[in-house]
Amino acid sequence: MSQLSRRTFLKLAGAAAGVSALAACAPPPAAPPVGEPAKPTEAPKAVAKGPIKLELWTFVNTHARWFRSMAADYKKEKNPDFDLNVTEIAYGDMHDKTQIALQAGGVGAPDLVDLEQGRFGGFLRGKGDVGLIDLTGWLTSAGYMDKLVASRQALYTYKGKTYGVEHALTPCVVYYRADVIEKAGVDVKKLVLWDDWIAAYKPLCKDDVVACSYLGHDLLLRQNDGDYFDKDGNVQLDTDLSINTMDWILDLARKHKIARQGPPGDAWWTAIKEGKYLSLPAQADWYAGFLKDYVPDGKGKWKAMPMPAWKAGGRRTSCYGGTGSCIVKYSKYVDEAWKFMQYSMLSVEGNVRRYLETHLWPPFKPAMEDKRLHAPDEYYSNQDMGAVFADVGPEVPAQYQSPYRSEMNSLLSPKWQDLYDGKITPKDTFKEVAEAIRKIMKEEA
Amino acid sequence: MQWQRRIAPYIFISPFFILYAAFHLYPTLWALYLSFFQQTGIGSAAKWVGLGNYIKLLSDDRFLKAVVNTSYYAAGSLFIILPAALLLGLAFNIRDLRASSFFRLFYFTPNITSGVVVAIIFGLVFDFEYGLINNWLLAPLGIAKQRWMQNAALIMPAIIIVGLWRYTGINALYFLAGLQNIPHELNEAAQIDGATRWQVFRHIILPLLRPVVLFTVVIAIIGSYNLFGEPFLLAGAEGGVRNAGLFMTMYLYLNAFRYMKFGYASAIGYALTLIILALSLLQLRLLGAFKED
Repeated sequence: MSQLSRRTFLKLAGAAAGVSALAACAPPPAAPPVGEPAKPTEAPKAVAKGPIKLELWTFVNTHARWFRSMAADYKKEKNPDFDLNVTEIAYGDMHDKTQIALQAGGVGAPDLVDLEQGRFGGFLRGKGDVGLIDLTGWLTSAGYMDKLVASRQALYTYKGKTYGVEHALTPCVVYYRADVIEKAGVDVKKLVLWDDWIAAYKPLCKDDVVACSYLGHDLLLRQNDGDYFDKDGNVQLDTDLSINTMDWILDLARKHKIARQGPPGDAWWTAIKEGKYLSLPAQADWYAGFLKDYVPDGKGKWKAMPMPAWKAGGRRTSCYGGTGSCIVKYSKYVDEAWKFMQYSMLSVEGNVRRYLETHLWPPFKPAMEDKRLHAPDEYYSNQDMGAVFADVGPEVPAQYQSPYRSEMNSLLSPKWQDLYDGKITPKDTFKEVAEAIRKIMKEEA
Repeated sequence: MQWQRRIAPYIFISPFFILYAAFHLYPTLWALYLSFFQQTGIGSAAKWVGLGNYIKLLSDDRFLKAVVNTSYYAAGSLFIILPAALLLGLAFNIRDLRASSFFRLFYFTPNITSGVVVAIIFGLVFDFEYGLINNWLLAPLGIAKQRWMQNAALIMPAIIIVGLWRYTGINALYFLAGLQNIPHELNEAAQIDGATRWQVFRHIILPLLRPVVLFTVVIAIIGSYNLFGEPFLLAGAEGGVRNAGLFMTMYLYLNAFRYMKFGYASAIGYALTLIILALSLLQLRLLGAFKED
């Protein structure tokens, strides 16, 4: 047997390393064709036989609980071979890991994943394959499109393709300290316009007690038929409507003296407990659960009502947040994942149970009338919270998705404090950010 | 069987090299390659831009801001954290110091605490309304409450305070190790010759500590430019008001994971590498690491 000299070994090792390096320098795989119309149904990659184990990632513990209970029932009722492992991962990490897995061609990717609307746009960036199943065909052919609230599905729809099913309608309402407001003789039913609301709260703001913290700009903008992007993806941040809305928010403190910037993090809940903020005038359905969790002593003190409108007969709600459940196209069990999605996300029972567990008002119309959604809520003085959400639900505005929403928020984020402090104006700020995003969009066109 | 004996050592050490090549070398080379392309979005095709990404960095306000911020923190590490650690190391080295083991453990503990936990706790410590610093340190001195995380001028000092709390102890232990290696006879001889404490420190201890100073300085520079968790969690992904707490690593993260600009993020990674390399070499040269004794 011939001997392998050290020199020969090193040569071979060097050659192997060189090949690895060259392989690393190979051109990236070409992107699949862009803009192909969505196929009505996409065949699953493999037909599942025997035990089926699906992996689902979510960043919301309440979603995880609900998914687990739905999976247990699905196994019992539909497929005894079905098994769902639900993994809870922190918000940022989960989106980052999903992105890496999709970028790596599905290596280590889950079968189902919850993607938050604020991060979802980033997945649509560029001209490549998103890595998620386009559900448009299935949702249409099974008749779900008409049953889902289209304005919410817009968040997960881009260039005619729908990649996710929304968990919540996220109707926004006013949560208010009924023990203070109603005791002061305010008839909340008469607070129909924002002007009425300001006038009613003004006399109640004393010392360090104010009506509210600064309201979300994008949320109020949507209430007023605007948004940061229109349905065609054009930047709308620097419109007069957007600038005027921000000025109005700042006037709550500057002119009316009824608002103050809320403290960040846990200090916010301490301030709420101490009664320093009398209302949360534009918060989503899921905030009902937050109040219960973080302010348990608030039981019997808080109630909810529709948001005041900008003008008579105007919209009395908006939308805020949202999470879409998606199927990863690299899953071995796409077909089973779709069946489970229908059982959980697209059924009356699944939507009702989710509301009871998480306070997420269903975006699935057939579930909205279910009696179980209208049980009196002890925390909110036995108010029928479902009735409040159902009342404003049909008016929830659309929120259009854009691959650039995440970067726009990232550019806006360092500027809010200076806006609140009056060091910069909404007009200059919004124009600067809007132009920056337009420039990026042009570069990537 | 001769060849088997010859190859055996290489096989024994090969797992490290295989893993290193797969998980370090390959991504490192791939990132270098990617830095010459514009690749934006999952599964998108890469477009050759040559040095375009690097040239763009030079006119990117947020990148330049991140370089300034990161350098600000590095300066804090060098001129505040390390001197504090040296003082602490000298204190640990006092003979007959009671409970010295307890103090060493006490000051070392912050270093083994998770960065995430530290950032969350300090988020509460710096809170305007209810925070420890405003209510327990500043208020008794009659100093007005400060908006630590909402004031662009205070964000970096706040992050340096966290760094001071977290990294002073471990560096003090490095200095202590160096101090304990200095023969005590040298101090005694100098004192007999009439040297003051300062002169002993300046002309005996400090020169003999040079290898440890060199080590801590280089580690501090590398650590500062690689810092991510604390500023990310304390100031937010964008570094808070006017990007005052935006570090280079955070800007890399934003580009890769929020904007999906993989090529540009790779270029930031290599720019960061070049800065660390240049500063480390400069420090090694200034502190005479290349001199032959």
